[in-house]
Amino acid sequence: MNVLVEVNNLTKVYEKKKMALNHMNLTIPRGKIIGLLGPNGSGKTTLIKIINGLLVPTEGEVLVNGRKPGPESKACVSYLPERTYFQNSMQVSELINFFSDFYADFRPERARQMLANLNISEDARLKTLSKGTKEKVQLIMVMSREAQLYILDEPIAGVDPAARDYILRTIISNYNENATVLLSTHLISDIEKVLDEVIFIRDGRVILQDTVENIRECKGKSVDAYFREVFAC
Amino acid sequence: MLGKLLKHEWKAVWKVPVLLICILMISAVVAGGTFALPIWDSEWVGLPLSGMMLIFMFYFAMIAVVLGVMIYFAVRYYKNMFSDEGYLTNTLPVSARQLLLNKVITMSVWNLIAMIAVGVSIFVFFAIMLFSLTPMDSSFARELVEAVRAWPEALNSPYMDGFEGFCLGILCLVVTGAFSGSMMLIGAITLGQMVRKHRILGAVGAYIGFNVIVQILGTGFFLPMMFKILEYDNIFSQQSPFPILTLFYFVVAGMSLLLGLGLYFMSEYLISHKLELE
Repeated sequence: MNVLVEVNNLTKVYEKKKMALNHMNLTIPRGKIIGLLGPNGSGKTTLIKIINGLLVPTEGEVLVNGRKPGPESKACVSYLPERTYFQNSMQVSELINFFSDFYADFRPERARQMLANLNISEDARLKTLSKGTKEKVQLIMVMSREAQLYILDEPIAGVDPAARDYILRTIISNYNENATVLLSTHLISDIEKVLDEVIFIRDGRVILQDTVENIRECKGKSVDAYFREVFAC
Repeated sequence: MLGKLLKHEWKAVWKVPVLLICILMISAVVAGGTFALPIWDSEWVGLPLSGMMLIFMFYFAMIAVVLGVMIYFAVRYYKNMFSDEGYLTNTLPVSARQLLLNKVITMSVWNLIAMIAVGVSIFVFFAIMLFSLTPMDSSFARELVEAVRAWPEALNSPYMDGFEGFCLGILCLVVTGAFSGSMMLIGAITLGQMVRKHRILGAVGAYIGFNVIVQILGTGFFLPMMFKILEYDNIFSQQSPFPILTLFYFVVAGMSLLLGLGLYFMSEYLISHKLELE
């Protein structure tokens, strides 16, 4: 089965009738790095939250490995949200134990190696780390899993170019080749070189799903340039 | 997975309540110990006033432990489940039931421990006070031992009929009270999440609402029973008051359990079907 995620007629309506997802249909294959791209408020984060079971759809369904969001789907999805979400009082070593306990696919030795590469002490408490270092710790935890689907929501937003390179290197060098990485970002030019496919979202609908190669060949321009053209204000 | 959740939860929370309980015990010892000091007959008003303040401090420490533990766990529940930390909690490969049971069990057990700690601290306070007030050469200790020895005999008197059941009733009441008290908080916070733009306000409103409903229902249901108890509450009567009190406590415990279970199932439904993290 090559389909990893199926999105069928997915609709999400927030308060005041704001429709974040509008009868969206989408399939996400295995073994790809996919960019989930769209302007602010297009529905990227809403879609990601529904896949992770953090929001309940108003209508339609999401299936991950053929299952609705729940303990089974969460066991095979590794999610990096756009915010710092670990308890500040925890030590890095406690985080490693925590992930080891709950995720069968977590590789603590890989996490330790990446932490050592960045000179982050396992004894450090998260509250003593800078925001950027905390984000790196989060990325290390997420990428130390051998998940089937990695969902990274704005992983390079708000970090310096050197950190961006580190993050992209970490993603490329750690993801399992049979797994899919779904990357949501505005910074297309930075990630374009690592993407296999892109999904353009506007007003809660998928307006394009294609390979990067096809876009370059057929449109004669980069994904970043094509994005600017499609979403021109 | 529930075992793992409990292990990590327990590890994360024990320090704060233990610290509060330690402060309470120290307060009990200090407050009780003031009776051993020659301050109460002092002509300078400052000394007995200081003693009284230490006793008041113990009183406030008792309230602080019970309230402190409740507030600490309520805030933790909110942060863990519905704030940024909820992004980790709610993406763990566990069911909503396991997540909720973990929180309910931990909160209930710590509420229970806090109540027991308050009971123990009162015992410690009075024990120290009694021994402090009694001169060393008095027969107080001997009389105390005699009173303890006479206790089994006293249990056989008609007035003490049903005392064991009464104790069991109190125990049930304390345990169900710890559970329903926790569920009132958890239920209110969970229900408050449905008010998307004012989640904390929603939780506070829900908590007040639950309390009002419980008070109204409780008053309507228990008032007739209270009158019945008052009929028995006559110290000159040879009839034991314990059977009716036991019945009363078991009914209250049952109601408390039902309330807790109702709120539990409501919370589980909301978390599994209506979760909306910001």
